[in-house]
Amino acid sequence: MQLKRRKFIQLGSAAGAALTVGSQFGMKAKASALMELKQTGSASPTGKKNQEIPYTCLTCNIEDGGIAYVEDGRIRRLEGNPNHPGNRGKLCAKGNAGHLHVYDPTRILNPLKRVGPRGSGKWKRITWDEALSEVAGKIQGAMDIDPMSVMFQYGRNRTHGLVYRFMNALGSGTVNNHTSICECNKKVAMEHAWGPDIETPDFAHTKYILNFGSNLAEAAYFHNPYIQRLMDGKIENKAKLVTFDPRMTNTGAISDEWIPLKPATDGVVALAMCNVILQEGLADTEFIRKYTNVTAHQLTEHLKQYTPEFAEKESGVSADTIRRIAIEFATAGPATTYTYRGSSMHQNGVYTEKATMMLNVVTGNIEKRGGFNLPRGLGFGGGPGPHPPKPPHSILKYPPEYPLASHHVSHHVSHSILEGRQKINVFMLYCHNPLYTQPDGDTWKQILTSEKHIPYSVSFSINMDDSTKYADIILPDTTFLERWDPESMPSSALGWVGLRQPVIKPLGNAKAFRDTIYELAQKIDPDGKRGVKKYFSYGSAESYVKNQLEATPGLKAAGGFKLLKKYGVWPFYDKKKEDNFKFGAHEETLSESDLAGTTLEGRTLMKGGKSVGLMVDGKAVRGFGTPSRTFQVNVPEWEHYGFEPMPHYEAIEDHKRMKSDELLLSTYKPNVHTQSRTPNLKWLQELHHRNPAWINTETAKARGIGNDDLIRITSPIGYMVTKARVTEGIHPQVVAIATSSGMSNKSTLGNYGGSKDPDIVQNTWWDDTGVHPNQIIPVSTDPIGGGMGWFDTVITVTKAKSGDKYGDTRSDRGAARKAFEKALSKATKVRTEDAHNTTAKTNVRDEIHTEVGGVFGTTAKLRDFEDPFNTTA
Amino acid sequence: MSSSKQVNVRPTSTEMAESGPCEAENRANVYEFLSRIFLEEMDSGLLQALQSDEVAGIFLDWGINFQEDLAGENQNEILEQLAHAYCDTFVTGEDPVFSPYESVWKTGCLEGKSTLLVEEFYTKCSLGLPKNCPEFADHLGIEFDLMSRLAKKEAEFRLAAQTAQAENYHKFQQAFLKNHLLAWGPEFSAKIERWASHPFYQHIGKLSCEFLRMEAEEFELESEPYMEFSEN
Ligand code: SF4
Repeated sequence: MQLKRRKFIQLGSAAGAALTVGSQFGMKAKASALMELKQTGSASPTGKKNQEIPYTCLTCNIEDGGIAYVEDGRIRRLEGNPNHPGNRGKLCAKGNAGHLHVYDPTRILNPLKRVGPRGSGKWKRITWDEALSEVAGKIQGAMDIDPMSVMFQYGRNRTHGLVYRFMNALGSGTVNNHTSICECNKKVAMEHAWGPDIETPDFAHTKYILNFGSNLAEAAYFHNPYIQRLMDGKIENKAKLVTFDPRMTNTGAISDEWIPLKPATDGVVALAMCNVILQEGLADTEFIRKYTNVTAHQLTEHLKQYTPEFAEKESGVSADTIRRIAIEFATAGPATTYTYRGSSMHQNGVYTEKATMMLNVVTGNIEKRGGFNLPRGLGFGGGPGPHPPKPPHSILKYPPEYPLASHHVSHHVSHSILEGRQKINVFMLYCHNPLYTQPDGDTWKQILTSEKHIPYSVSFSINMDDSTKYADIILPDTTFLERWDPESMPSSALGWVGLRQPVIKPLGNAKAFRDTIYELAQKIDPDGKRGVKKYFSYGSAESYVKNQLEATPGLKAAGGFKLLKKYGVWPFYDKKKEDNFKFGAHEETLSESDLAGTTLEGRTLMKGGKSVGLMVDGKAVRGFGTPSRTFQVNVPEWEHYGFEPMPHYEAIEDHKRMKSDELLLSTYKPNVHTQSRTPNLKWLQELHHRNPAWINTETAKARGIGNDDLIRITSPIGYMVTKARVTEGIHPQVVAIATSSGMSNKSTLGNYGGSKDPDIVQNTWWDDTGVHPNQIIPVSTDPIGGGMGWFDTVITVTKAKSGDKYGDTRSDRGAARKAFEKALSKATKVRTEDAHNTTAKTNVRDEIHTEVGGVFGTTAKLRDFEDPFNTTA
Repeated sequence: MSSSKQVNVRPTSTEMAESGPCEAENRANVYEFLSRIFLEEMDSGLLQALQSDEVAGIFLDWGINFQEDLAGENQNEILEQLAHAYCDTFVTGEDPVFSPYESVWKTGCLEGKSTLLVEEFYTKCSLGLPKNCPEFADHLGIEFDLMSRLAKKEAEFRLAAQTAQAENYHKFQQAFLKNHLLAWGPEFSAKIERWASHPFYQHIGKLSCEFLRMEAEEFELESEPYMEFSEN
């Protein structure tokens, strides 16, 4: 041993020699920079005073307010911001674990350049200068060929205009979001019906809540603020909660009644209830007369076809139940419906959303205490000028087959690129993991791995997710706790603006996306000759966000940006104000100045080519944010494209043809996860990591399937092998699988269970990380809204076949292509020259933006954003 | 030499401390060398040194042939391969990736309590963290750096015949080994030896592991038992 040690110590001289060959060695330089400090005595890691820094949460997209407790530059814990009007001091489980994004052991903390074939996992660390120079060079090259060949695909983008500033400055309209796989059918239905794309129900003061397929207690929009108010309503106001949902969620569990129904039939149930309410003389015919574009008689006649018996046949909900609940809803006092993705993300989702909205219309529960109300965000500005002009839209963003799909059709993008609809030279991916979160992930893999279809790809990411692993270069982004953003969400009747500010310095060499884009713009256009640089001359990210927020009327006087830095939100939560909030925005009388220069077209007051108000019994009121200023029960734009303009139910073709042994596949977010972003949060992964398929007891029995048995689920495009969770809590014709499990990339915490790294093994007790279902879900699309039919896949379920292994997933590219073509075949055949500049669309989109600047109490300019609230969860 | 003899002849910590500045300085050099290797990719100067007969010869005694590991026609290509291997092994890549942070080893998260405790240890020893170093204090390379600096201090004081101060720095090393490095360093190094994608890093893992085990013996400390793991 001594000999060995002595030999080892000889190494000291060798090591010394090696190190002294040059003082240019990186660590030598660092070592010489070591700083001698004065002895400060021992310090306890827990005895120090913490800084309390307000921030806006982004673990999911509800944008609640929090306080970070920071000690020595580290986040010790997160708590809710008691001043926040939305979440009122409470964070959900996900929010409490948000700082684990920062400390995720698999975070990328340096720019990485691919050095092996795409997806080989071979990388090299490079400097920011090298990385930005390379990306800038590729973008310059692409701009010289065709600026539109520079594509930006984003998901949870909360920069509020920055992506568009960048892409517009480059001259490319090839920008896509992820709303078509979120809730865009709901948005489109609502925009055409009443203007804004979301509602803010007054749950706290209601007497009855009809929940169609949303899981407010766990995941739906705005679940943390809303479930608090919903419970207030249930406890303090004795409100009744009825949930229609094929799966027994935690919302179902706290409901007074949980009614499982066949997926995609919520609409027919809602319309049958409307029919009952009208037939029974319980409708608010005055509301219909004054504020809609149909008469009560027209509506009654139209809805007669939707009898409770017909709805029973379609949905499985008994006609008696439909009648009883309809009458309860209409007579309870103030009442509201609630929906989110569950009922709307079907191929008939736009019709369904409109149908459920109609329950509020026929009962006159719109814009009233305890009712179904317009959203009230405050909004903010578009950032410092100058602003680049808008380039033409790309066919990938607005495919002509979907002229009414105002929130893009992102789940068609992979197939469209594959067929060469738009040539791409540079592909940028930000806060999106399409290979995991989009349906038919294999087609995404196909394009992401193909250098023919995507010659160069960049990912701005915090970790090596399933899609980022195929990038050519990775620019490490910061988490939401290390960056600046403005925020405003209609999560309370009291509108608010909030600030997301860095509570710590970015870890390692990670750089906030805002800063990266700024620096990239300088690299692309160093001398200003390309006309890009002038839009990126505002200085710091902080000054950009300050400029945006200080455009909110009233904020400057209240303390401005300084106040937001200190408190995180403005105005503060005020229970009295919320309890006494005055609704009725549509009834607001127009002022003399509003009326000056208006002309009347029918009942609609027009000014400068835009509708500004509605005449109601001789009085000029604001009305709703639609071209006619009415609540559009009849949507003429839909008729123009061959769709049914009146409230309508259309059964899904594939569902009509289902054989007796076929089932429907549904997916859901568990209560501690979003989709692909949270599996890397260790606490949450520990709480929920596996996702066995929920299958009804009788359905399982008929197939000889027991709890935890290995099963094979076969869809039209492939199959997966997973385990069964046999339960009474699911409709007999439905199988439900949680998302947020089954990440494919081994280098993510979400896949730790399969690792051979003992660091990981000793810190995780589970080895089952689930099987992700999206790869076997084919593309299907609502022809109006352009949204994905997430819950429409017809499947068969059997016991696993011999040789099947847990986690096996196969998909058939030919079948996936056929599914895409089938979706396209259902699109409208009506074409306008530029569908996305039709009067209907332009009006509706502009009106929405005007509404945010008008009805909701601010004149802040929001036109630079694509979505005023960007309420995509 | 039998193992019982080894135990009998092992110097006590005081004896070790009295063995002069040279030993401490050499130990400091080993730590500094390992620190450099773990913290950053190879550069051309270091590569040349490791390929030289003078330096490589000493490693041969350990069954490590750096000349073989680092052979190639083109120095730039070798550097490029090593940069890939560094990234593969310590930064990101296909499974497994070895997170070189004590916090991750202990809690599964970056920048945890260990990071803070190491930072505090630097302060306690009147040393400052490397300036502008983007790494956390509990990165193996930084922990090696701390040991190197402590050993250097010890050597300096011994040279100046300031025994009490030298002994003090010796104790700091003992405490740091006990509370931090030996809790995970040997095991981490063993993993590198076994799984790193390039023989150079495999050999660095072997060196690091053996050196730390020896340090454990010399300082009369236990290193954590090596945890075997299976390939799955
Ligand atoms: S609901 Fe979303 S925003 Fe609110 S605390 Fe939870 S994760 Fe954060």
